[in-house]
Formats: sequence, C-alpha cells, structure tokens
Amino acid sequence: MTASDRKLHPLSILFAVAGQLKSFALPAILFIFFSKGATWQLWAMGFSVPLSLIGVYRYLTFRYRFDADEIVILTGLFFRNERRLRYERIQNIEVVRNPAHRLLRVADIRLQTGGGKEPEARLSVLGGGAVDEIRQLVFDARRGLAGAAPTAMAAPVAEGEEAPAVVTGDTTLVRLRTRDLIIFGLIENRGMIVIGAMLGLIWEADVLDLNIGPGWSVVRPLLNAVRDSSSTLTMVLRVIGVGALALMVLFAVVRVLSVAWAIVRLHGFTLVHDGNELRSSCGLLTVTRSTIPAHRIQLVTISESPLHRLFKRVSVRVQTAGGDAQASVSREWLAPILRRGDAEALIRDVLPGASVANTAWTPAHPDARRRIVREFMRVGALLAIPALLMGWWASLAVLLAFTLPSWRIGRGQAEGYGHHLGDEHVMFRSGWLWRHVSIAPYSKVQAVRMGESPFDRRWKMSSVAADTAGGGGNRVDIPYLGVERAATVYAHLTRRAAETAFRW
Amino acid sequence: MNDRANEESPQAAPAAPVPVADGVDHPLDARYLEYGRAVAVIMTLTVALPVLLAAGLIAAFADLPGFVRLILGVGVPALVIVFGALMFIWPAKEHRHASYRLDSEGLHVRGGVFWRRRIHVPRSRIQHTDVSQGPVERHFGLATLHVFTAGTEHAEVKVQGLSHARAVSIRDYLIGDAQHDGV
Repeated sequence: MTASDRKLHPLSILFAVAGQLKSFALPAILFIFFSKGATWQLWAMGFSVPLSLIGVYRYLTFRYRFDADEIVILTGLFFRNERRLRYERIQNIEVVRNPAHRLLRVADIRLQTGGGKEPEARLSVLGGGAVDEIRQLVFDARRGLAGAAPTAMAAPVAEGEEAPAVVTGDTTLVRLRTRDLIIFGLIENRGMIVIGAMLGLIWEADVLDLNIGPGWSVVRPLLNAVRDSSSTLTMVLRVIGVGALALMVLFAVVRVLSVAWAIVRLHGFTLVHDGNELRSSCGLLTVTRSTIPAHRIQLVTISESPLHRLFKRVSVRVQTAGGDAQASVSREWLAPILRRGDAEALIRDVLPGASVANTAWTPAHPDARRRIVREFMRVGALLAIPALLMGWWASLAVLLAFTLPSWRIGRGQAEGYGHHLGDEHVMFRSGWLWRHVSIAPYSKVQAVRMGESPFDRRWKMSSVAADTAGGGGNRVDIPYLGVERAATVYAHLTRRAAETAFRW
Repeated sequence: MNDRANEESPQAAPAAPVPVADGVDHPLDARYLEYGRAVAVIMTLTVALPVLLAAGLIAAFADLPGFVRLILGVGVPALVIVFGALMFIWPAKEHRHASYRLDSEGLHVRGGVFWRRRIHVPRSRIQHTDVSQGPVERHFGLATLHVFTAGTEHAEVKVQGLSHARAVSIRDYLIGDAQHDGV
C-alpha cells in the first residue's frame, strides 16, 4: 500500500465535460437544429470551453490517497477540503460502468457510509486497478473488524448494544382482524384517497352521466324544497338544513370509503418477530411485505388522536435506517392500530428494556403553561393589529379567539410534555389532543443538542434534543425544561450515547 | 493516523503533540475575529457597492418623486452602513458565545448569539470528517472542521474558527482509533 497522493484517471476530464454537457444537451440540440450556417460550431465551442475548463480544474485539484485506515480526498485550490473516510465505515461501494466507461476501461466509484442520500465520496473516474484496490482495502478493514469482534463484545463499550436475542422462533406481535380495520378506517381518514382515485377513474371511463342519473332524483326534491320556501327565514333554514345534510352524507361516504380502503390495503395485517427480524405483511389484493432487522430501529413512536382515545386504540410507527444504499431510510407502521393495552407488550418486544406502562414521566417546567398561554396571547395581539383595519370588533374577535382557548390549550400542552431517561432508552411525550410518545435507544442517538432561544432565556428554560438517523416525523426534542434539568438531561444523554456503540 | 501519511501530507502535520482531549472549553482562535471582519468588509464591498451605485444612479437620473429619491439617496446608504456595521460587530459576539471541548465522550460545540446551542457528537457516531479552508480562512491560517454523523438534524456539525493545525489534530483525535467502531 502506498500513501502517496494520486490523481484520478485523466479521462475524468472527458467524463466531467460529458456529464456537464448532458444538462445542456436538449437546448444545445435545439439550437443546432434551428440555427443555420456554421455559427452553431461557434456556439458549441462557447459552451464546451468553460465546461472543459471546469473539468480540467476539478481533475487538477482532485487528489486522493489510501492511508492505513482511511481514504483521504483532497479537493479544491481556492476553497480546499480534506475529507477522511475510514474503510470500515464504508457500507457500500458502488461501481458504475456505462458503455463509455467499459469501452475506455474506467469506472465511476461511489463510496457510501449510509449516512446520507448522497454518496460520501465519489471518485469519477478511476482505472480498473484502483477499483480493485479500494475493494480490497474495504474488505480487509471489515475482516479485521470481524476478527476483533470478540474483544469488542467483552469491552464495556458493547454494553447497551442489542445482544443477539435468544431465538424462540416466530412470535406474532400484531394481528389485525376486520373489526380492527373498520376502527382504523373510522379513525384515520383515508377516504379522500379513495375519492381521488375514484374521480380519476370516473374521468377516465367517461361514466359521469351514468352515475349522476339516480343521484339527481334524490337531490332534486331537496333543491325544490329550498326554492319553494314561503319566506326568507324558512328558505335560510332550509338551505342550512340541506347543507348540513349534504355535509353529513359526504362525511359518512368518506368514512365508509376509508373503511373500505383499510380493509383492502391492510387486510390480515400481521407483524411477526422472527429471530432478529420483524416482518410485516398485509393486503387483500396486493400483498405488501416488509422486513425490518430489529437492530435497525432508530425510533419508535406511539400516537394517539382524540378518536383513537374514543376507541381506546393507538398506532405505532418505527423509523429505521439502514446501511445499504436502497431503502436506507423509512418510516413504517409496526401496528396501524392497536389496543392501547397491547402497546406495552409490543414495545417490550421491539425495544428490549423499554416500557411505556409505568413510566415515571418528568414533567415540563412549572412555568411552561404560563409561557404557552402568553405566546398564544402574543400571537393574538399581533394578529389583532391588522384586524383593526376591518374595525374594532374584528380586532376584539381575533383577540378573544386566541386568548380564551389559550388557557385550556396551554394547560393541555404543558401537561402533555414529559420525558424519561430509562435504562437503555430516552422517552419523550408531547401533545394534548394529539399525543405522541417517542422512544429512542441511547445506542441510536447520533448527536445531542441543548438549545436556548431568547424566549427560553427570559423564562430560564432550555430544550434538549437527541438526534437519530431515520429522517422526519416525531423526534425526541424536549422543550420547556428548567436550565438545571436541561443540563442534567444533556449530561445523561451525552454520557449514555458516548458509552454505547452504534451499529447500523 | 500513521506516521507515513503525516510525512506525505503537507497539511496534516501538527507542530507538537498537544493533548487535544483535555476536557476544557476552548474559545475559538483569536484570528477568527479578524477573519470575520475581513469577510464582513468583502461582503459589504461586493454586495453593497453595486447596490449603492445603482441606487445613486437611479436617484440622480431617473424622473422620480422626491420621497423615492430620498429613500434611494439616503435610506439605502444608511441601511448599507447599518448592515455593514452589524456584520463587523457580529464576529466578536459570535466569538464570545462560541467554544469547543474534547473529552473521552467526544466533541462538544457551543455557539449561537441569540439562539444558543450546545451540540455533542460522540466519537463513535462520526461517519467521516472534512477539514476545509477558503481563501480568506487560509490567509488567517484558519480552517473549518466538519463532522458528519448518520443523524438527521445534525448530520453535519461544523466548528469554525480553528487554526488549521488545531483542526487537524482534533480531527485525528476524533477518528483516531477503531475502538468504537462496530459497523
């Protein structure tokens, strides 16, 4: 192995220019097609000269080398950058060879660590020898790691890492019956999806006339009743009545469609824990299956809307992240709907050591309620000023609309916040009407942030967030903490994150 | 970090083996103030001058009502001066609230003037690192350390205003040994 700086293959310039030209291809072709005479050659040169210069600049300033443990990539002349990527962090080596590459015996290499969507390093283009060398280095690093595994397991570092669970065969964690699916359809409104699809279908099939015929015979008497009203008052009342009826019918139809959607799409939903994998499958017509390696779970969220509460149900989602290039990040249902009482068993199985049943939640700062109420009032006051243009009554209405409910909302939200530092997981709870509980293992925490806004400072509060892989949705981001409590939580999270090892 | 690579790389040669992970909050390099001010001056000159010139020309030659001329002739320059001054003062404020610390847990970065934050990245979570240097940074001997994690909000954590040698030695400490790697 040599540790001297290397350059890309000289053909890189060609591929760089070709790559740049691709984005100009269509306008260039149009231009060539429509311009007469020899001027197009001039224009083509005008395009390609600066592009070539960029290609040459990139080629001349791009250097890389293979050190003992890492690949080093140096780029730029004015804005210089030195990137270091350890071999054992590389999850995927993508080697792209299109016909041009094959013809010229080079390859476009992309190295991915699985962290982002973009490859972490791109070597475009290298000769065949260099490609084999990278592969060898990465595989050697992996093998070295595998050899060192027993000692790593013995070290306290490996603590908190999911031990290879005792395989007890398949365990069905969730199985949804039609009754559950009906409730799901009623709670989660998927009806509009169906209506959208149906409208599209009707439009396509041109069966609009056919459908309206029978419907019209129901609607017409109602409209006649409105038209034949004897006085303005009865007319207004009838309009309201017909409108309300129409809305109710629409609402009912949408919910029925939602139930139908749930029955078709989620028919026979099962979640099975098999060894180290979670497998789900569902669907009546198209069966959708997915597999989640248990150790790829980054964050589990239990959600509950007011309707969920009415039916004593919750829904459970999971955020996963993977090392492989495809499907590296996704959010999936562990249970689209679940009896509230069954959530505990599911969580216990999916996140060993976690529990939601007897959590000793630490509440938000006692001033959180007052602060939320004041924030509401402040927004109301701000919006009331432009409303003055419409008259003092409008301004007052805006003010009242924000201040009257703010008291209840503020209390609900403040009481909704809670966090818990468990043995292996951090848990965060939020919301009043729409409630969420998010659970993240310390071993999946990538970074910890303690933040303090100008408003926080006034109230002597801070927020603490634990960043995990796996993208959007609910996160562990705990607001309205007293500064001392925030410091404690931050210290705990940093210590626990640092002493656990992260595995994809 | 092997020795051979150190010899080969002109940049990656820390002058003395300074203990990096001392668990002490370090302020940013003092040269960061000059750097920030230089950037402020450059930005003001490159952005503000054309704006001023355009405003002046329009105010002088276009047929406009008096108050518009007043805004263009007085308001715009005043705005430019205020913004320029703010940009000039800003680096000192930033410097006051920024620091970094390295200990056995990893990297702690503190920063922000109004919205203050403290970010911790454990060593084992670092996927890869960049040490970058723009032309102005190079002039002052500074560099920016970028630490990349697999996270979402903090997929990249930056530490600006480090001397280049310091940035390199921190980098070498953070990704130094494979003890924590368990991919």
